[in-house]
Amino acid sequence: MSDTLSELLKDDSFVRFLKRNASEEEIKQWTAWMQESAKNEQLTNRAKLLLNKGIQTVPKPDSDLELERLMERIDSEHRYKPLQEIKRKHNKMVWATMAAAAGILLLVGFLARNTLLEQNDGTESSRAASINYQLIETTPGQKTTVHYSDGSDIVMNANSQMRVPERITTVDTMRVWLEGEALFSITRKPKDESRTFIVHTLDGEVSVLGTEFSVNTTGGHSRVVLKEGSVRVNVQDSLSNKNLQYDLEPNHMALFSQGLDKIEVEQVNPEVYTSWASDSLVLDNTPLSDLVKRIEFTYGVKVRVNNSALLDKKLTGRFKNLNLSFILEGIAKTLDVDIEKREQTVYINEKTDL
Amino acid sequence: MSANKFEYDNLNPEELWVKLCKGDIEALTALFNNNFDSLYSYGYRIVSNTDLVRDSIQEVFYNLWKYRNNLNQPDSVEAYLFISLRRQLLRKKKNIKRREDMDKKYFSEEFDVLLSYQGWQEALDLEEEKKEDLKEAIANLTPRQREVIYLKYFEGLSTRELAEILQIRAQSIYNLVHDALENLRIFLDK
Repeated sequence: MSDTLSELLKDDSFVRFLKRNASEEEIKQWTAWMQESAKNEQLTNRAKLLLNKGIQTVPKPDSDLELERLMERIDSEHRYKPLQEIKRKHNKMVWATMAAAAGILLLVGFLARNTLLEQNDGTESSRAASINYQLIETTPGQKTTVHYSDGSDIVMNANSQMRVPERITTVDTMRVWLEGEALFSITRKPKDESRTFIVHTLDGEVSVLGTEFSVNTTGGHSRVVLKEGSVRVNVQDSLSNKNLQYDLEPNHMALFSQGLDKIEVEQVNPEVYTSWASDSLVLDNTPLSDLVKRIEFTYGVKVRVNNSALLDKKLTGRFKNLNLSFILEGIAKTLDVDIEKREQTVYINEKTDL
Repeated sequence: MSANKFEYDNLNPEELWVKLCKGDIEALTALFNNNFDSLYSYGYRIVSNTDLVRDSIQEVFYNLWKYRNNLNQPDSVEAYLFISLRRQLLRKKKNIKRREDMDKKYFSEEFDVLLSYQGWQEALDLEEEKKEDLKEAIANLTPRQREVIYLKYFEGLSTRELAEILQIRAQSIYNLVHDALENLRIFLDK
């Protein structure tokens, strides 16, 4: 063991002893060493003092407030997130109903559901209590439509999930939570009955009065394409406390995500982004990279391209038949490439000159 | 609720991590409360900008929650938090540097250990006129040496954790510590 401070401080065991991270064995050993001589004790005390007082304490923000800020941000995501949790709880309820007296359990079920919605919707709990939500999920290659009595339709694309009210609600705000892709045709209400329709995504929300638009949340951000009418995109970033807003016009596409400090807007051909709902696929100067993403998403397959330059190639046209092999054949002919599908993977390869 | 809180107080960071990955928000709260002060103190020494450090800490814990289903259990949760914060800050720092011709005072130093010279005087019985020499000696250390000194002696992190945070081998940590202490020897062993 050393007899100078600089040597002692190089000893990890000694530092652990000072920082109270040492093992019992080490504590015993250093305590004994300390008691050996007055000099050892003085060295230890100096070292202790140095490590306790040798550093400036910086003024810190209130950690409670910081925690609150974090929880707010998590909550704003949570409100939309726990699709799966709700489903699980529902299942539990069904099971319980079978297990015991129905009358009492109906009440229990009702209460459970109320609390559930309260948790998820926070301030809107009293209203939300009267709305029954259902979870709709689609598998790869599947598509489904939700019809409402006022003529509004929501077409969900494959690989998506959405929490929607079971029926048109009487409250003035109707909300859905979407993960995936869906096309909304929302019937405009008579002027005196202003109802807002809001699509929540992880990244923000899209609110509408009556219109046709598509929302897609795959690819790490949310994408809204407006065909008709007008919608407003709202992004509340709890981190930067920024509140971004953009009113879209027809043929606008908006991209937004949490953490991005702006809503990107560009002019597009909306057909390209909404045609899937009507069983056709429209391409308008669409790069293969986009089409590949769409194919992967819609059909649940992986697409591998052997030359990344191919991904930049643009395609224009319309597929009326959405059968995957039909589309692949079309791509092969247009781009003059070889396409092969083995199990769940599609290989797009440049033709070799042989 | 309060009984619950007590239960979480007795868990070590690794146990909290396990709970967090299972979607336990109380575990996230406990990790936040237990680590906020030391993370802030560390972050402030990397970039002395309160808002930047606050936001980065938010980002670290937000991501922890967001990606909880895809996270591996780290060897040391504490080291993991330090690394995450460090990355966030260095990235932000780079952006700021690029964006504006920044204030030299805030961003020129890579790591400002912010020693208390009075504390050193008191502990080591230094004469008043040595204070300036000590300042100079600290300023002459490399940023890495300063960072290691800070994390090792004042945050009490182990050599292994340090190697993880700074992404260098344990032996290099020993060397950094050794060289730094050699430079400060005249104050330590007077």
